Order: sequence, then structure tokens, then C-alpha cells
Amino acid sequence: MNLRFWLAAGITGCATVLLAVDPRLNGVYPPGLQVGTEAELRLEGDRLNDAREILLYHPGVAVVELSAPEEKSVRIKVRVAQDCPLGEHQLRVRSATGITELRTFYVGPYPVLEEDTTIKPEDPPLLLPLNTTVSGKVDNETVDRYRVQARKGDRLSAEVESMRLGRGFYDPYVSILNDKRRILARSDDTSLFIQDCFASTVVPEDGEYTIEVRETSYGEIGLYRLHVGTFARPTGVYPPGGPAGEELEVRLIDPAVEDLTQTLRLPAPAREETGLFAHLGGVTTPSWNLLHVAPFPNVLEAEPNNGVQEATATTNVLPLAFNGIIQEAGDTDWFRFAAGKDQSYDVRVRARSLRSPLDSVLRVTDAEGKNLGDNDDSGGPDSYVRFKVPADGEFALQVRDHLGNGGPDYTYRIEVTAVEPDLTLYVPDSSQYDTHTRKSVVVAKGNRFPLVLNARRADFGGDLKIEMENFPAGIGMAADVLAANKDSMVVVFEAGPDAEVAGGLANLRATLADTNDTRGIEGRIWQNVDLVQDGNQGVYYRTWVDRLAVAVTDALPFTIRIEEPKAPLVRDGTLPIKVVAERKEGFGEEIKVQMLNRPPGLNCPSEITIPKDQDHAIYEMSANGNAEIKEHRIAMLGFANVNGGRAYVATQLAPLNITDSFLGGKIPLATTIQGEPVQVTCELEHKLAFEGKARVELLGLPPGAKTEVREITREDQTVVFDVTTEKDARKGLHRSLFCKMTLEFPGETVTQTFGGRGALRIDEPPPPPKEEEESSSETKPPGKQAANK
Amino acid sequence: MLNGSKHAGRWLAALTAPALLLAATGATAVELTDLKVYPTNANLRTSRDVQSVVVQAHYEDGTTRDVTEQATWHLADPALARLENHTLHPIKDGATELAVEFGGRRLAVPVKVEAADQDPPMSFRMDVMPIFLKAGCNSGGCHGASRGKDGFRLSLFGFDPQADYHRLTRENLGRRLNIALPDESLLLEKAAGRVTHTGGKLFEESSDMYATLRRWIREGAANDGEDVPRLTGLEVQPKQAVLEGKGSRQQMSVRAMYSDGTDRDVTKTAVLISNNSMSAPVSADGLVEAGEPGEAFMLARYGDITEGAQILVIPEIPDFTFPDTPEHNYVDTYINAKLRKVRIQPAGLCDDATFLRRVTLDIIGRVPTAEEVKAFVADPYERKREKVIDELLDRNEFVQQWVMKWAELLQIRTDNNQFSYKNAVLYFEWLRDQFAANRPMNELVQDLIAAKGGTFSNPAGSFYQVERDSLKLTENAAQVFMGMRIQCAQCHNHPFDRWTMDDYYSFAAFFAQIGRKTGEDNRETIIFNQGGGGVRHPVGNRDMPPKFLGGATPDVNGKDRREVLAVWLASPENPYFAKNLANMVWAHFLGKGIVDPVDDVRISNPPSNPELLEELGRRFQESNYDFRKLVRDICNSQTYQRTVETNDSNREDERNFSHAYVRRIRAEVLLDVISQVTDTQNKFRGLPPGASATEIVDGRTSTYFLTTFGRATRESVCSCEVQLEPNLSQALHLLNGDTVNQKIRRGGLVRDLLKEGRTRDQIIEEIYLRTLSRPPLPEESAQLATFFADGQKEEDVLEDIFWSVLNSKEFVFNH
Repeated sequence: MNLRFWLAAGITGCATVLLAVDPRLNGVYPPGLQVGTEAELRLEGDRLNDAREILLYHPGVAVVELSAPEEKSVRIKVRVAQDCPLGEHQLRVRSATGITELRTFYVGPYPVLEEDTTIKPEDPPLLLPLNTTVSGKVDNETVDRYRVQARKGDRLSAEVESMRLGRGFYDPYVSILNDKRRILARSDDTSLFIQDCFASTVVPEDGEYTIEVRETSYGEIGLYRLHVGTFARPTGVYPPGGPAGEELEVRLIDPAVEDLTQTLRLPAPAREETGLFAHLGGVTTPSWNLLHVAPFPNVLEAEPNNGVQEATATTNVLPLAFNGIIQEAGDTDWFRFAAGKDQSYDVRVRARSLRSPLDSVLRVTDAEGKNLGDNDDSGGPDSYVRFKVPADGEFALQVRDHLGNGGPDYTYRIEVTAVEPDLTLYVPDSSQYDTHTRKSVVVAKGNRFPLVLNARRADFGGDLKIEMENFPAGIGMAADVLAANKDSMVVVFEAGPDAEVAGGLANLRATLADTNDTRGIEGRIWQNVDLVQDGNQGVYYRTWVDRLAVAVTDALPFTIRIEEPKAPLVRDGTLPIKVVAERKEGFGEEIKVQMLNRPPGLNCPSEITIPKDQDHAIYEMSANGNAEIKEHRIAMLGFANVNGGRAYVATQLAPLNITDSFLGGKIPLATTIQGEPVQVTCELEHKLAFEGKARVELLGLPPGAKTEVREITREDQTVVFDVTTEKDARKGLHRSLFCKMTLEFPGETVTQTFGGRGALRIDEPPPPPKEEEESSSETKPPGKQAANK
Repeated sequence: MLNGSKHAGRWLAALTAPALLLAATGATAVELTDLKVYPTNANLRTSRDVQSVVVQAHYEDGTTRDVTEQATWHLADPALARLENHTLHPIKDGATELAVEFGGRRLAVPVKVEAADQDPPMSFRMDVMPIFLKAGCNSGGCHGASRGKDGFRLSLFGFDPQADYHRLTRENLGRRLNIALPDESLLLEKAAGRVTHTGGKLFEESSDMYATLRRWIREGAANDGEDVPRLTGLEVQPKQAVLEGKGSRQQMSVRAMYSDGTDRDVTKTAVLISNNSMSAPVSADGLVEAGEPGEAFMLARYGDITEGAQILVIPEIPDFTFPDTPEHNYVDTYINAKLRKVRIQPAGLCDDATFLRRVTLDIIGRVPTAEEVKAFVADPYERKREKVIDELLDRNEFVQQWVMKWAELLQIRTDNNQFSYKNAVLYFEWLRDQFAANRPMNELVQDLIAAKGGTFSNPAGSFYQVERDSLKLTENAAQVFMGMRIQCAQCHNHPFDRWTMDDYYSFAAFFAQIGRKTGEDNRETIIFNQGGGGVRHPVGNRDMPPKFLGGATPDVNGKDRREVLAVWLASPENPYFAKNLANMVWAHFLGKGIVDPVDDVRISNPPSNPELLEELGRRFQESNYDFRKLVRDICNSQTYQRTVETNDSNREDERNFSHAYVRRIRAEVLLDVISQVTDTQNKFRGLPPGASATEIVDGRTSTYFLTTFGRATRESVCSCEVQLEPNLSQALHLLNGDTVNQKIRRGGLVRDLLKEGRTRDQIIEEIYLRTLSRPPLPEESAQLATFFADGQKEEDVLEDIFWSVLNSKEFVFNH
């Protein structure tokens, strides 16, 4: 070990005290709270010792105390308001040096108990009061049991949140058993919550009942919340949505309770989805049924509507939402509406996306039932058709289940809306199966941070410009216009050396760059966070956020920048780009550098390294013959280990000029005989003027052939190479010749190739001339090779 | 006891002497009960048609005799036909009657002669192709091999006549057939052995086969037109013959039916095979001659049809009397009828303790506890056996047994990304729910076959997920639900059964429209009806219409083909379904199927007692496929309750259930029983502690013990997956392995009993009762007493005794 090692180690040791970049959050314990209470939460993770703030995405929960954080955990006291929305809440921890992953916790209606892990399998299970939530875990190949006392005629329901907690691949099973161990109700998967489950029964007689929770196939459940109580557990609601801002009466579909209705005011403006929590006998159901809120009215089906002639008709005009239920196996529902010629409509079924069991098949027909468009699945079980109205008149919609199934909770909405532009922004995953890394903006003081930003555009075109909304003071952004033909760009955030350490939830707003466009199209962040993934088997639980977490953090011990190239990168050429690192005194880690936004046609290594003892590295760029000719702006990501965590920085957005090549050329066929010299000429085509002399090499010669480098100027129309060949030079037609031109710029060497597929044929020498004596018996018959010549 | 030799020389030793006696006294004393003539009518069409006639006499002792020679014959109008060697030849068109008289009985055979003046040219399909089959040319070892033989290929067993015609006439022009000089055709020269032929000389130049081929060539080796009659049926008669004593004979009669309503006597041209040539060898012309006592099945194959007849050869015992044995139900009636016919005396009934152990092992896969044994033996109630059967059928473990069996048949086994453990658990639990609710078996099977929806929400759909290949599915459905192995017919017509390639691909067409898509949970697959797609026959690339195996061609237009199949498959219209399931249940309790193996139903593997099988199937179906009722019928029968002790007449019987067969306890049950008697728990991957081995969900889950004792891996649907043969490693594992020893230690039975203050003898009795369901015999007790030598710790000796008992054959076998 040398001095440098000890120096680096010493500095790293020091840094432990100073910096804890890259904080991580593994989970929130307990995973849920009761509404209207104050409680302590334990946030567990890594490098949390400089935690400053809890970023909460939803209202209703306030952090009243953040006690002295430790390396592995932060304890917070929260106050949950009486009117706090029930259900999932999202949070991140912001520290002085970073922002953690997003994690979730739940707010529920019941008091929360922790599972008693001291109870042995042979002991009687824990007796739960009704309307309680238990937080627990199931070990591999075991079953958790609880007891409840229930009265005849009461509702007894048990619901498990486990996959929804987003903490692991936990697929629960729940059952309710009587004292003779007969199963009264059980559930593994549900349409409502996919892997999560609920069982519900009407208590047959006063007595004690057992609730069993286990993993479906006897595996492990690292975390669950079991709600046990007298709550209703509707499997659906009807209608499953309505107009924004209006009161909606919905029927709760619960096999044990008839005619249970509830009225709620839908939010305005329209949100993607909202939830309804059922109430029965003063008890609230612990989780919701989804509703879709739209800025247009409902049409409700009127049975019988099983054929086009008896379709439920409406006098309302589009856009409309047609609501119905595929009541029984084989049921088909029809609706009728009027539309005008040449209008385009999106006809979208919302069923499974609102957790209805229906696997829809949709047909749009004319008034006689003639098919005008149909669809089964569109990225999921829900159906979607874009319908261009062929003529003024009446049209019909038909919906049925793909398998011909049906039932009282097979609810759906078919929303028919005019085709409208749609725009949202998101940060793509930085690597496969990782939806956490570099999803927040974390800018160190006096440093830069890159964000890859993607736009989802639908039904419009045009360049987009990006603006910051609600960012902490002191952060600036460098961003180009996102060109109409692209859906991804890099924006670089920068914080001044004096910026305050701060953070919050902010947003990015995209609008049309063309200020003359009056359509008012705008979009903001709408981002998935995949909390449970099973490799290539897919995502099992995903939550969505509508904002970006942003922070200015303590300074980092390094920055990187691109030394802006003076020379262009020409088509079919290469250009070395110098990336310079500036390290603070004592910081000796190597820095990895990645190119984030590679323009089409540009090739480069995926990653380069600035070694510990170097202050720069060269990024070799090359462009192919189709690279887009334009002044691009590029940025590079740099990252290094800082005290065991990974710190990310960016270069500035630097120009990269991709131009046409300096030269084109053609190398016509030259022929020679083994051992004899030949001149190979390249006819030059000047495309881009260059100054001074360029070196030109002829490459791709076969073994045994050699030539020398030539120099040309912009005046030369040809370049001629004197090629010498050996006696044993490889014979045949060689189509591998090309030229490489090298041009020196101050500090940069630009190369370019041209004249590809140039040809050189090297033949065998002819046989020695025949002599008289040799025509005797010794003479070979004319050889094949000779004959070939 | 365990390795009983097959029908062997002992039969001979015991029975030769009485046979001679009978020969001396003659069999004429027995009364004639019936006279049969085959065929019952004769149709002669064209001048070269013939029809042989066979007469069979039935006697009151169940025996039959071929009395063709002894009968008197009279043809009403000799101007129309000629009778020669009991064979009719045409003379002139018209109708007459052939009278046959024997033993005072007279039968009339209507005779019809048509086109007596016509001699049509030879037909390739009707006249030539049968010769290739009869002479063996197109068998798998000869030109029927997939690459042919010595440069000449014929389709295996003649599944593709058009290709055969092409190869004969076009592949090697002028060589195989010489129309100008037929005798110089290689086909004839080789067959007659005039030139070197790897297959040797097949027939004489003077034979009918030679003449037929020669004439066909001389007539221009023509191919048949589209309207050539198709073979539609085959009659083999008599269907049954009971031949008494060595040397008795029976001539068989084989007649082929054609689609144009005509028939032909093909006794000489059909292939006749006996499956037991020790008892009943058959000549090429169809003459059966009795050999050793036993059962044989006569198989006649002609074209693509196979039919058979049963030949029983029984010993000559003039003073044989069947004992007056009580019959509990129809099972005994049919079994005893058969035993009477084959002159076997059944064994007596087993004692109560043996019965209780046997029935407990068979119904719930456990052994009775010591208390249960004592209580049962002491119970004076007359119908206590019935009572205990009913009680056992109510136990949860009964369901487990059958769920395990069906999990094997349905191949519940995880497969990486294709079939997750969750799928397996749900499928297994679905099965358990069906059995626990005593769901009629036809409905269960219909749910499987017609399954649709997600494999999580409807686990029956996993039937289409454990196997995704539609041809394999076809084969599995036939094997599991009908007991038939139709695999052969994928590539050629089945040589020993009736199934043709048409049957195979038409049956496969039911599985041709299965749609699959991934569910919301990636582990789940949604099974649906695609409503399109088909199966093409490899010969001619025809799209095959769905046709039930051995049944009709249903209308599937606009329907889910699998739904149509499901209704038929598990219905009385399918003659195999109920019988197959009944046979499976029977085999579980008796140790051997009436058709054995249970999943190898074919013409050439007939049931040992067809009437009983028919009745079991009929009753099973009439009871609405009530599984428990069937088990009750079987277990209550005297047949089931017979002892393993044999007598002179039934010692060699392995087919007729004249005594109980000793059976090794299958792997899972044995492990559960060891755990039961040692008071220990098992632990298997993916199941909570205490789960029994019969509850193992995944075919991949196993332990060394289970693998050694032949647990099914569920890689195929074959009944052969469960291995019940004893072997050395099983014995060694019980002796030296960790299962028995550790379980004795862990359970601490001896220690606990000693703590309770039980005496040495009481503990030994407890050990014997809980393992062997009997107290130790006096001589065993005496011997065991010698082990307690001075200085030996009593607990150790008692544990050793426990260990020895668990290592005894008596423990690991059900008897």
C-alpha cells in the first residue's frame, strides 16, 4: 500500500462525520396508523444520521417531532388529522445530503396492535377486539392465528394489506374459521386488490372465531396489516365513477348487505381516481373501492339492453360515460349515442383499472349493429377503440366479458371522449428493475445534477419547453427544448455555492415551445414507483406520484465538467471529449462518467472512469453516416463513492457539433500481381472545408500489401497511394479498402473515414512461358489456374 | 409370499392326473345348454367369395366345445351354393338356408348369393393391402420401419395405402412390379423366396396370397377409385370359448364389414394373435388349441381394425364343486361366477384385526391405533365392518388419499416460470375441495376439461397449464379419463388396439382451440376458447373435425370444443369413463385392476372380469358418480375381505381376486404411518409443520425416504409412476437410514409409556398393536423376553424391539 491509499482512507474516515450522502429508506414501522391519533413511526434505512425532513405527498399527516436521527433509523412523531384521507400515504426522508427512496404507510380507521410474537403455536391465539388492525409478519411455512368474539348475525370481515404495503413479494391468504375449524370464508386473491385479500361472513352463532393468515403457498410474509371487524366489504360500487365536483350516489355491492348506498361529493377538478370508503353501522371499511372522476356526465344502463335494438339510449351529447354491470354469465350490454361525421373519439372501458372483475371486450357499431371497431385488451384487460365517426347518426357500443362471465360486481364505465392532446412527464428508470435511483433532484451546493426527463405525448406534436415549479431557492436549471421528434432529454440542475440546504416536493411543467400555439397544452410529472417487482416476471405493486422530490444538499467533494470541444464531430468520424474532474483536497475516489443523452447516430462507450490519480478522462465519441447534423447539447453524469454512498453530479450542458464529413471519396478497383507495386487512387469529394493539411491513410489492405501516409489540402481532388506488394501477398479481390483522414485542431484530433469498399485485386503471376523441350512428356497438361486465367 | 411365481408348472403337476380321468370318463355327461353358429348369416357376393361356418356348443358347467365337425349340415338349395369343409361357395344368385344340427338342437343360417357370375378385378386396398399386414411386410421390423427396409418402405401397418401404392408402382419403375411378366415382379420374387429376401420366404407360390398379388399385377396393378368400400367393422367369433383340458380346439371365425354393406370372410387373411400362447396358441388359419389352464385373448387385426375374443382354458376336474361361499353384494356375485367358471376355490375371510388394518390403510392411509384395534376386535356388533368403513369414509384422510392420487394423474408439479408453487397449491386445494364435498366425479372432470378463466380464480384451468402441448393433452385426457394409451396412433394406426391416426387427430382437434394469456398476476394464465384453429393429419394435411374417441362426430360449430368434449367424456355416452374410474378405485383396494394396469385399456389387454367391470361402471354412473358409495361397495364385499392365505386351487391366481394380494404400502402412506406410530411430525418444503406426506402439493417435493420408496414424481400421467416394488435400498434405509431410528428417538413413545408406569409386556403389546394391529404371538413374546438380559437398559431394549417391528415385512406391507 502506498501513501495515496492511506491518504484516501484517512480522508474517507473523516468524511464519515461530515457527509452521509445517498440516504436509504427500507421501510416504515409500523406500516400503518389510525386516523385522528398521534403516533410514533420508525423509519428504517441507511445513512439517515443527517435526516432533516420528512417529505409527505398527501395531506392529513403532520410530523410533530423528528428525534435525533441515527445511522439506521429515524423516529418521528406524527399527528394524523381526523379528516386525513384514509389509505396509502407516501413519504421520503430528506437529509442534509440526499433524498431517500419513496416508501408508503397506511392510514386506517382502527386502532393498531402489533402482533404478539411471544405466543407459541400451542398457545391459544391472541384475542382481538373487533374493528382492530394488527401489524404482523408470517414466517416461512407457518400460519398466524387470531381469535375474535362475534355475535350471531353480525358481519365478520378480515382484510389483509400486504402486497399493497409495497415492501416485498408477499401474497397473503386469509380465512375465517369456526370453533370446529370449519372454514366459513376464505380468500386468496381478489379482483379488488389482486394478491391482497379479504374474507367476510355473517356470523352464524355467538362464539369465538379464528382468523388465519398465511402466505398463499406457505411462504413468508415479511409484513402485513390484518383488519378484523364488523365492516362491510363491498367488492364493487355502482356506478364506478361520475362527474367531477358533483354529488354521486353509489350502490355498494356487497353480497351480505342489500341496498347499501352511500353519497359522496366527487373532487373537482377531475382526478384520475378517487376512493370510496364504505360505512356500515358506523364502521368504516379499511380500504377503498375505486371511482373514476371525469368532467362529463354519466349514462346508466337500463336493462334489458342485451341487443342493439334495445340498447340504452341517451339524448345527452358526447363526451359521456356509459356505466353498467355485466350482471350474469353471458350478459351483453348495449348503449346508443349520437355523433357527428368526422369527429374522432376515444372509447375507453374502465373496468379492471377500477378493479372490477370484468375482462372487457368492446365493440363500436352502427345503429344496426354492424361492426365499426373492436378491441379485447389494450395493454391490460380493459378495452380501447379510437372511433372516427363515418357519418352523422346514431351508433352503439357493446360490451361483454371475454370469458362470458358476469356477476353483480362486474361493473364498468365506457368513457367516450373527443380525442384530446395529453402530456405528462416522467423520469425513466436508470436501470432495469430499479425505479428508485436518481428519481429525485438532489443538487449539492456548488454542483450540478442531471435528470433524464421523458415526455408522454398523445395526439399532438411540437417542441416542448420545460420550466421549474416550486423548486427551493438557489436551484437553477439548464434545459433545451425537447424537440418534437424526441421523447427524452437531459436537464441539468445547478445550485450556487451559497444556496441554502433545503428541499420539498416540486414539479416540472412542460408547455409547447411555440408561443403562437394557443391550445394551452401542458403537462407535469406523473411518475410510477414500482415498489414490488419480481425480476422479469413483472411489477406486482406500483404506486404513482405527481411531484418530484427536490433538495439542495451539503457540498460534495468533487465536480466534473466537459471541456467544450472546438472541433466538430463529423459523420463517419471520431472526436475525443475531455471530461475534467475537480476534486476537493483529500478526495481521491475514482469517478465514473456516463453519457446520458446520446444523439441518434452517435456511438460511445457506456461508461468511462477518471482514475483516482487523474484529473480527467477522454470520452471517445464517434458518429455514423446517419448521425443528425445539428449542434447538440450533451451532459454527462458523474458518480463516485463518498463515504459508502454514491454521490451523483453532472457536467454542464455542453455543445457538441455534429457536422457532415469533411470528405467523401471513392476508390476505384486497382489490380496488380503478387510482388508488383500498384497505385491506388482515391477520388475525393470535399464536403466541408478544412484548414491546413490533413493526413490520409489507406487502410484495409490485405496482408502483404503496404503503403504510406499522404497529406492533402482542401485543394486536392485525388490522393494516390503507392502500394507495394510482397510475393506472397494474399491474392484475390479485396473489397476492404478505405481511407482515414486525421485533422489536428488545437488540443483535439479529429478523424474521419471515407472511401469505404475500395477494391484491390492481387493476382498470381502468369506461368513462365513454355519452352520447346518442355512440351514432351514432362509437360503438365494446362493447369486449372492457367486455364482460369 | 411376496414374489409369487406366475402360472407355472404347479398347475401341471396338480391337474394332469384329473385331466386324464376326465378324458377316460368323457365329458358327455354334462348337459348341452346352447348351440351357436358363426356367422349367423352368410352373404356370398361375386364368384370368388366364400364363407366358413363354425358351430359352438355350450354346456351347463360353463364349458364350450367346437362341434363343427360333429354337427350335421344340410343346405336347402344345393343349386345356389356348395358346402365344402364347412365353407360355403356360390353357384347361382338367390337365397337359401343352411341348417346345422347338434345334440338335438337345430339352427338355420340364411344364405344369400349375389353376382355369382361376376369376378371383379382385384382391389389394392381390399385385396392387396391385407396381404402386407398378414405376411408382416409392413411391420415395424420390416418395410414398415420409418426408413423402410433394404430400400423399400411401406407405411407402418398400412396407415397410408396411397403412399404404399405410390412406392410399389412409381418409386422404382418396372422393378417392384412387372405388369408384363407378373411373376418377375420383385414383390412376388422376394415374397416367395425366389430371390434373396432379408425377411425370408413369406408364402408359397401356390398360396392364395401369391395368387391374389399376381392377379392384381397382371390386371395392371390398378389403384382403387374414390368409391372403393371402406372397412367399417370386424367380427371375431366366438367372443368367448371355455375350453376344458389340453388339446381341445376352437376354430375362430373373422368377418370384415364394408361401407357398401357387403362383408367378407377374412378368417384366413386376418392377422390372429394370442396373448397367451401357453394356454391358447392360434394357427394362421384361426384354429385355437388349448394348452395349459389359463386365460388368453385372441386378437384379430384386419386393415386398421382390431377386435378380440376371450379364450379360457380350464383344467379338467370332473368332480369340481364350488364352495357355498356367502355373497355380500354384486361384487362377490361376479367374482364368484368367474371363479366357478375357471374352477378356482376362493380363500376364506380375514380376521377382524387384519381387516381393520387393511381397510384403515386403504381408506385413510393410516393404521388403526391400539385402542381402535382392541375395541374393534371386542365389538360384538354383527355389522361392525360396515360401520367402520362408513366411519373411515368420513375421515379427512380419506380425501387426502384421493387428492394425492389425482394430483399424480393431473401432474401437479411446479415448473419454473410456467407453473408456480402458488398454482400448484391452488390446484391441489381445488382438488381437495372437490373430494371433501363429495363432488360427483363426472362434474369434476367436466370442470377440468372445459376449464376457462384464470388459473388462480379457477384452478381447474391448470389442467391446461401443466401441459400446454395439445397432442400431449389429448394423450393425457385419454389415459387419465378413459384409461387408454393412444400415443402409438400419433404416428401409425395402433397395432394392438382399435385406434387409428384419424381417431387420434380427430380427438386432438378438441384441444386445438385453447387460448392462453397471462393474467394480471404474471404467475396466472387465463385459459379461454380461441374459437379458431385446428389439427392437421400428417397424412394428407387434412384439417380433422373433432370426433369423440370411439364415439360420434359432434357438431362443434360455434361452440367451445372443450365444452362439447367435457359433456361427452364424463357421460354414459362414453363407454370408458365410468368403468375406468371404477377400475382405478378397484385397483387401489384390491391391489390390481380388473384391467391391469389401469391405464392400459385396449382390446389386447381385456378385463379379467368384464361383467364385473361393466357393473361397477354402471352402478358408479347410476349413483351419480358417488365416489364414497363405490368404495363402500368394494370394501364391504367378501372379495375385498378375503385372507391372503391361499389354497391349492387359487395359489397361482393373480387375476381373479380369489384371495387377497399382499401389497407394499406406498411411499407417502408408509412415511405417514411411521410418523403416526412413533408420535412424530413430518416437515416438507412449502407446507406447515405436521403436514402429512399425502398432502405434499408439488411433485418435485420429496425426501430421501419418499424417493426410495417410489413416490410418483408426477412427470407423466402414467400409473407406473408410483413404484411399489420392494428393493434393497428400501430395506437398508429402514435398517440404517435416519427415518425410523430418529423418529423412534424423537417421538419418545417407549420413554413416555415407561413414565406412565406400564410394564414391559404391556409396552410390547402396545408396540405390536399400534404397528401390526395384533398382539405378539406367544412364541414372539417368549423370544422377546430373552432380549432383556442382565445389564441391558429396559428402555433401550424396548426401543430396539420397536425398531425391529418397524423393520418387519409385516409392517411395511398391507395384507
